[in-house]
Amino acid sequence: MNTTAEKSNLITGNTGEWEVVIGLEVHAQVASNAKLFSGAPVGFGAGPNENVSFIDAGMPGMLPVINKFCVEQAVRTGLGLNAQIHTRSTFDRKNYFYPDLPQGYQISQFKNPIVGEGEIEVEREDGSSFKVGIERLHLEQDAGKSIHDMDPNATYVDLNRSGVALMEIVSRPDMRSALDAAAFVKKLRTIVRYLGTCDGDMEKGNMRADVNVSVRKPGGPLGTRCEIKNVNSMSYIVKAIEYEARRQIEILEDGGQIDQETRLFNVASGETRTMRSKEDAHDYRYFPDPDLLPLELEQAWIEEIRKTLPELPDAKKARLMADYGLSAYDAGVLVTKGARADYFEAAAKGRDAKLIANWTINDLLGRLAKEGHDIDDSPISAERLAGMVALIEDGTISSKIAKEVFEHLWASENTAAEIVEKHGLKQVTDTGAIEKAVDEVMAANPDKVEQAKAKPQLAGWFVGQVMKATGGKANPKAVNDIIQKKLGV
Amino acid sequence: MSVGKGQEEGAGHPSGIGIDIPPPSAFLTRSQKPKVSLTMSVDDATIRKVAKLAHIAIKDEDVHPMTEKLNGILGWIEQLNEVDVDGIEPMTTCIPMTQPLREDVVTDGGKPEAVTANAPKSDHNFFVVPKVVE
Repeated sequence: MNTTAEKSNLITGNTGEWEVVIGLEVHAQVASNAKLFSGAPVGFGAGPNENVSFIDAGMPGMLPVINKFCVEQAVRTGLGLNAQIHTRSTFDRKNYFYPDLPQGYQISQFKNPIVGEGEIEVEREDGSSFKVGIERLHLEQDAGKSIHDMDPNATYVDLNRSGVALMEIVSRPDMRSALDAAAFVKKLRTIVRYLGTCDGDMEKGNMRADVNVSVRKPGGPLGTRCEIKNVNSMSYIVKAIEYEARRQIEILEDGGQIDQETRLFNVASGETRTMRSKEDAHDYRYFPDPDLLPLELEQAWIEEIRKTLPELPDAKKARLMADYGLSAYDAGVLVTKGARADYFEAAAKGRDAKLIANWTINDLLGRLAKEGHDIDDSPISAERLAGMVALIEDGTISSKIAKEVFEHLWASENTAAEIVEKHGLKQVTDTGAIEKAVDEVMAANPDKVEQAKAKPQLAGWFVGQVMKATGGKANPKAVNDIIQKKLGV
Repeated sequence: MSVGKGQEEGAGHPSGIGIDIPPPSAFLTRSQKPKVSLTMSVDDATIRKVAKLAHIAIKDEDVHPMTEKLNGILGWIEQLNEVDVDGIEPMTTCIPMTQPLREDVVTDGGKPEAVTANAPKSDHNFFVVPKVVE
C-alpha cells in the first residue's frame, strides 16, 4: 500500500514536511501449557532453568516435536486476522550466536509461513479508522533471558523462555504516525485476547513489537529503515517512533544517509541507539531445519477451527450499535475487551441501553481506570448496576442522586434498592412537599424573589436552594416547574 | 565433516575444520564429467566472512586453500544445473511423511540441576557466561 499520511501526521523539519512510514513485527506468545517443540512448561515466575528440557537447552541429539495446540492457535489467529491459512508450511533455522540461544539457531518459518496475507481494520481515538495489511504470521521459538546485573563480570542465563511458542505477526508498512502504530498493536492485542490465543500481557513480555521506521518526503520513494527491537508498551512504541523519525529527519536534512540497522529503545532517556553493527546484522543464513518435516494441515481441521471462533471485536461493535443504538465511540470502548461487552450486555437486558452504556463507560470504567483496574475487577456486578439504572428509569432516584447510590454500590454489597431505602435517597415527587420547601426558601429571601421576577434567569438560584434544602432528593423538574409558577415567569 | 575418501590428505589442517574433499572428478565416471562451466564460486573474502559468522577461527594461511577446496565442492555440485527441473516442486525432505504433532501437555522440566550439569560454570541454577556487552 502506498498511502500518504494525512496532513496532520506530517513532521515539519527545516527543509519542509516529512512523512514517517511504519511497519511492525509483533511477537505474541502462544497461551499454551507446554513449549513449541518440547514438553517443558510455559509459565512466568518459575525458578531459574526450572522450565527447561534438554531440547530447550540445545543438548546434542535432542529432537523437536511440534505442539499441536500451538499450531491450532496460529491458525486461529490467522483466521482472526482475515488471513490466508497455508495448508503446507515449513520450518527453517535462523542462525546467530547469543548466549541465551543455546541451539545456535532459532527455529522459525522463513520461506513458507503457516499464515499468509490478511488485513485488519484499526480504530483511532477520534473514532476514524484505517486498514493495515498483514504480510504473514509464522511460528517460532522464543530465546532465553540474559541477566546482566547479577555479576559485574558475568552474564547469567535463564532458559525458561527458551523454546516458548511465539507467533510473529508482520504488518505491511501501512502506518503513517506513531499513534496509528500504537492503535494497530492495541487492535491486534484485542483480537488475540478475543481469540484466546495470547494473553497480550506486554508487561510480562508476552507481547512485544519490533518497529520498522523510515522517513520520506510525502509521496516520495521509501527511505532506508531502521528496526527498533523489543518495544514492550504502547507508550514506548509511540515515543520510540517519534524519537527515531526525528533522528532520521535530522540526519537527512544535514545531508547524511540513514544506515539500515537494528536499534534499541532506551526507556529512561526516550532515545534509540545502535544495537548491532550493521555488518552481518541480517546475515542469518536461513536453511530448512532437517529435524522437522513439512507441516501439513487438513482443510477440514482448519474449517473446524473456524467454526469455534468467537464473535470478533468488529462484528461485536457493529452488533452493539445495531441492537442497542450505541454510538460508534461507546461501542468501540465496550468491545476493547470482551469482558466489558459481556458486562454491558448483561446489565442492559431489559434496561435503557444508552443509560447502561453511560454508567458503564463514564462512571464504572472511569473509576476502575483511576485505580488501575478494568471490568474484571469491578466491585459492582452487572446486576447491581442494572438495578440502579432501573431506579433512575422509574423515577425513584434522580441521575444526581444516582451518583451517590453509585458510591454506595462501589463500597458495599447492597443492591441499589436497599441503599436508597437505608439512606432515604428516594426522590421527592410529592408536589406538596416540594411546594412547602419552595415557600420556605422564598419567605427567607424576599429580595431575591423581587430580583428574580424582573430577571427570570435568576430562578435557577431558587432551584439550587430547594435542592439543597431537600438533600438533593426533590425531582429537579418538579422543583423548576413550581418555582416558575410561583415567580410568575 | 569429511566426504568419502581423502581424509588423510587434510588430517594435518591446523584449523581443525577438516573439510576434505576429493577433486570433483573422483566421484564421476568419464561420461558424467561436467559439461557446464563452473559459475558458482567463492573468494577468500567470502571464506573469511562465513568463518566469522560461524564463529570458526581460521588462520590466514588456511584461507586460500579452503577457498580452493570449497570451489572444488561447488564445482562438483554445479553439475546439478544440468538437470531440467522446470515445473518440479523443490524437495525439502526425502521422507514421504508429514510432521507428527504432540499434545499440549507438560511432560518435562523441573530439573535445573541436570540442565546446567555440563555447564562450565553455573550459579544458583543459572548458566554463567562471560559478560555480554550489548
